[in-house]
Amino acid sequence: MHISEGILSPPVLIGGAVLSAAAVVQGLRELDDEDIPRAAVLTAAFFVASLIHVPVGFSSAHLILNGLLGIILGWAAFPAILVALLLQAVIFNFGGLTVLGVNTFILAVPAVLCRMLFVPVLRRSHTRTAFALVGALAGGLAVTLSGLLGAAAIAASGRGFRPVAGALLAVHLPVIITEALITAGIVSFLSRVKPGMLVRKKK
Amino acid sequence: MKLSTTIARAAFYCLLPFSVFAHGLGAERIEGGTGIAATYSDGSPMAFVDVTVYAPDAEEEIFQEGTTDRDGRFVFFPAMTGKWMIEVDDGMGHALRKEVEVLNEPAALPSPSAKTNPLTGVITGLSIIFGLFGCWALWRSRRGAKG
Repeated sequence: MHISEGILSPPVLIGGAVLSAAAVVQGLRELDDEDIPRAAVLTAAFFVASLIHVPVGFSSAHLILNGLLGIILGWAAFPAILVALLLQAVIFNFGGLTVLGVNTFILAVPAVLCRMLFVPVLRRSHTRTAFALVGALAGGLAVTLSGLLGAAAIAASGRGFRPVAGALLAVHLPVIITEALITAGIVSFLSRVKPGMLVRKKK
Repeated sequence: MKLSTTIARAAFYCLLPFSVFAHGLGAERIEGGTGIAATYSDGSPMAFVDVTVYAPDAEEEIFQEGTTDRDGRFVFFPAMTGKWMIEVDDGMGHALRKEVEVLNEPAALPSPSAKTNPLTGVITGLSIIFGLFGCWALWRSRRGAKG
């Protein structure tokens, strides 16, 4: 889910960069000192996940993990995703430097939404099944929303929304399922081992 | 730390990504190939018409599809020696089949220019991520200690 250089129009690129920059600042403010190592580990996971390819017919899509990042990091998903995408662009030529803002926005907004939607549910969850279910929903929803946002960004640059959204979601369907399973597994595991990572105590 | 040293360091780290940026996707120029120039009986070129190529070893299976250029030319790279069949069809009832015999073994593909080894990339990326967050944590803790 990296939009390449040369597809989006300048207003979309600038808009994405400005919104992402503001959200990154917000994310850094919310990142407590003791959460920094956690953010580093998740940034690393996100960075590596993009190299794990899920075969889709003759094409392939890769893992994204933005739902998981969102649930654990909240707004701090913005700086985490920005750093990971920057390195992916520089080292592997995924996406690109000018589209960095838009790509960050596309992947991080669903992450933050996942936290807003699902963490209140997690606070009231007690069984492992409930945690797994919420994890699956978050994992699947985040990728779906990113696909729609990506299509919207491409549509705003003068292409039809429907065909792009359809193609993006079709390619990402296996990823949505895989991510739902992986996020479900990790969230249910964390609920047993380290519940504080999912549901932060209120200060 | 002196201001000049700080500026020099900042410049170095800002320029660093561009040296890495030289890697990634790449294309090599190739030349040669074999093909046909298709014309109508009046000598005008069969421009922008459909072309289908069949390999010598699989006459039923399409090897390649394409379109002629404005002068009716179509060139492809045969993967083996033998008799290749090229079909040209303008979709308006004019079609021709032309056999092209390839005698020379195809040239080897050009070796791709240096690519980043994925493992090197992963290690580099992870080092930078942890380094970056480490510096951030250090800066935060120092500022906290001062304040």
